[in-house]
Amino acid sequence: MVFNSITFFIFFILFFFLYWIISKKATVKITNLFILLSSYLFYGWWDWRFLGLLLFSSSVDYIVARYIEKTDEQRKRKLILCISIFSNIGLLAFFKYFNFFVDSFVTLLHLFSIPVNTTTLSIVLPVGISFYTFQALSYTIDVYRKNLRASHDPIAFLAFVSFFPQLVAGPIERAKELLPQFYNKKQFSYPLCISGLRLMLWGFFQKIVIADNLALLVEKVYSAPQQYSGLSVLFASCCFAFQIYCDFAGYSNIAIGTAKMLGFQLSMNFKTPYFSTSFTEFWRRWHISLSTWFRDYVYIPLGGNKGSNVKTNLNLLLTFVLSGLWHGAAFTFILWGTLHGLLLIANKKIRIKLPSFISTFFVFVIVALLWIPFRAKGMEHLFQLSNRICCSLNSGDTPGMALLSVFSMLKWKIFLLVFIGFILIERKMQLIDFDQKAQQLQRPVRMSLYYILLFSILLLGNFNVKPYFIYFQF
Amino acid sequence: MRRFTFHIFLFLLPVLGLLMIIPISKRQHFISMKDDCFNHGIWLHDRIFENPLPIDIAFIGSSHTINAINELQLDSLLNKQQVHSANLGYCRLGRNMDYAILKELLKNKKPKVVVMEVRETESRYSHPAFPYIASQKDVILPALLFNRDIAKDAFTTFAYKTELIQDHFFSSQPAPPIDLNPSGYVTHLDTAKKELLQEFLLKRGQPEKKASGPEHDFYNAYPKNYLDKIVSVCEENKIQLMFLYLPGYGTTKTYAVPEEAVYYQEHGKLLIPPAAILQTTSNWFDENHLNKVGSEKLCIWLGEELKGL
Repeated sequence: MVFNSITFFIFFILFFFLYWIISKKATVKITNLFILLSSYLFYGWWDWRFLGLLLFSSSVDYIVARYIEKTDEQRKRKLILCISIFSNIGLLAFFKYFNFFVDSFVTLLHLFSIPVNTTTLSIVLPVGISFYTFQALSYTIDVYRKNLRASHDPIAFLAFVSFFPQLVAGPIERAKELLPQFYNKKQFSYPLCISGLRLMLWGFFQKIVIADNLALLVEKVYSAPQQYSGLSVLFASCCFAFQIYCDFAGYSNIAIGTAKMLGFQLSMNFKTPYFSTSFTEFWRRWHISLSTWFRDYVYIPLGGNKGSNVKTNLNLLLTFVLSGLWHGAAFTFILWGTLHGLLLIANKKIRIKLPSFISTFFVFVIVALLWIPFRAKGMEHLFQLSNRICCSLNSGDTPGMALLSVFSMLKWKIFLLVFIGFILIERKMQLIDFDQKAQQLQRPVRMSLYYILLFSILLLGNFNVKPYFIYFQF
Repeated sequence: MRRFTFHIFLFLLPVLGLLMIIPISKRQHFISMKDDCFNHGIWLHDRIFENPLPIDIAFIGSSHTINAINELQLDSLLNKQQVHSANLGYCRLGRNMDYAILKELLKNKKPKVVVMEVRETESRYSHPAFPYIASQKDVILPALLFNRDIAKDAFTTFAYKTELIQDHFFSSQPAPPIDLNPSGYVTHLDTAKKELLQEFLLKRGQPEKKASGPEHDFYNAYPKNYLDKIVSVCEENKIQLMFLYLPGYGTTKTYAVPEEAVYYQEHGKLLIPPAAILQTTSNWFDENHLNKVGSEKLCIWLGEELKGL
């Protein structure tokens, strides 16, 4: 089920009313059981066969954490933790990376003229596997580190791992923050539900109006870069920067809003990252739940910034390479991660004081350029795109022609106005979310804003596309 | 909770109201269906609303009808009666679509006879194109709850309306010219491969487990509701209703007559083409549709059946 689909719309309305009725009349356990079953229905709607995987992963982590807590002996605790790490990473490795590693190995052997005949398996990537395995993994590691007590309530734990608002694309929640919320009885709260709806409205606006419309242009240029000038490819890459942001931040806002309507507080995943003045700041504001996950469970255990400069830089680079690999089993993602890692290292070394708007612009341009390998379908496609930018900057169709090939002039003019409005709102939001910002506005302004967003969705929304979010593939 | 629901409803009311009342021409509804059924929708609209030629006999059904009824041939067979027939078939099944087309037809034409296509069994689902052409009232307030597609239909109507409003405001493409072609018949000259038809004959000739009793009634409640509506609309407008059996190839062994034959006969004349037409392999374009030869034979037979109306 995808948030911007009719199926989810019906599912959520039914779930919402039933949830609050059950929550009022029944115990927390029964409410959690209802959440669990509904979340499994939500996930199984995509492919029920992978429900077993979700159940297996969560069960292993639940049992492992209980055993870790029971044991005082450090060596034994470490050994038990390894079961969780191997099972989670093993699942991820098999479903996400098996073909990639086999293919890469074969290519390597071919380079040395060693012929190998192999057939890779046709493995379907279960939606959200990267997200829920990381969430479950952080729980066992926290229990191991004694930062968290193991859950004694299997229903609450399974509901925590499979909680449908954030199951398939995050935010990757820490058990310390989210799990205790499953132990408390929820009371229906009017302001909280309105807050949730506000975030959902903003999320849908980001996704349906901004991301889906930009996607048309990006797809057009990226699918046939040879027909467009390098300038158009650059322009499409800038559009992709906003597309991926609005797609993912939109998803996160809908997820956080949905959870809020059910009385759950999820963590903020984006803090207007394109207004960052440095790369370090960008990573503090972009996909925060993943960045902090890598910081706490990869970078710091590797030694963090405790060792020499070289060691710190290596740790940083490795963390970003792994982060790139987390996004997908392809060299383009590894390249993307590596380049970001190198930028962060450079950012630490080179400190030039620039006016904030210049540094913001600079950071945005570089980040947008780095989205090119991320968006490219493979290394060959990446070379094609780079070739257009470097060698044919002015030959081929111009950005204007690319724009007009997907929409009429009038639609683009209105879209541009809405887009400027969107940037201004984001500028005002800075480190707070849309809900908090809207609450600061006076009622008439706030209500007008809601209607503007709603009418923008209706008038500019692209309803003719298959419901899809970019981060589902990860 | 009640306050919350009420406030959300109040908030959405102006938006929903606006969506409902912004006028979009009926033609636009059909024009925007250009990617469906070989762009047959716009012809359907223009035949009813733009073409001054009357419609005395209307054929309503699926692609089986589109490929089977050659109006020009039929009109020439019935030329003494000076009748004009129209093939108003639209791809795929769904009784609600037949009802929606009938309602559109009656807005501008006065048919004397309506011939409804019937198949082996009634399809219990909503026609995928129904929410695109039916009135909002018909989509949102269907008479029965047995339609599993009701939410999908309501959403499609809403999404399609917004799409049409967007086109209304932003599209710079001129509307296509009015299509005055008198015929909606689509013909195929090719003949299906015998082996393919043989395969279907074997497959479709197997005895089927048929639903009966309450299960059968439950399944058929949805199409029957629309059939009842069609019957009453025809009665109100003094239209003679007929049912034309157009099965796929190889099903006549299992279904010599349609499953709901009794119902059809209760409300109109049931026309069952001779086995010689339905069972001859050279009459078929594929396992579902008649080819030119088949449709010619069918129209000759139909001309005889409709003589003297």
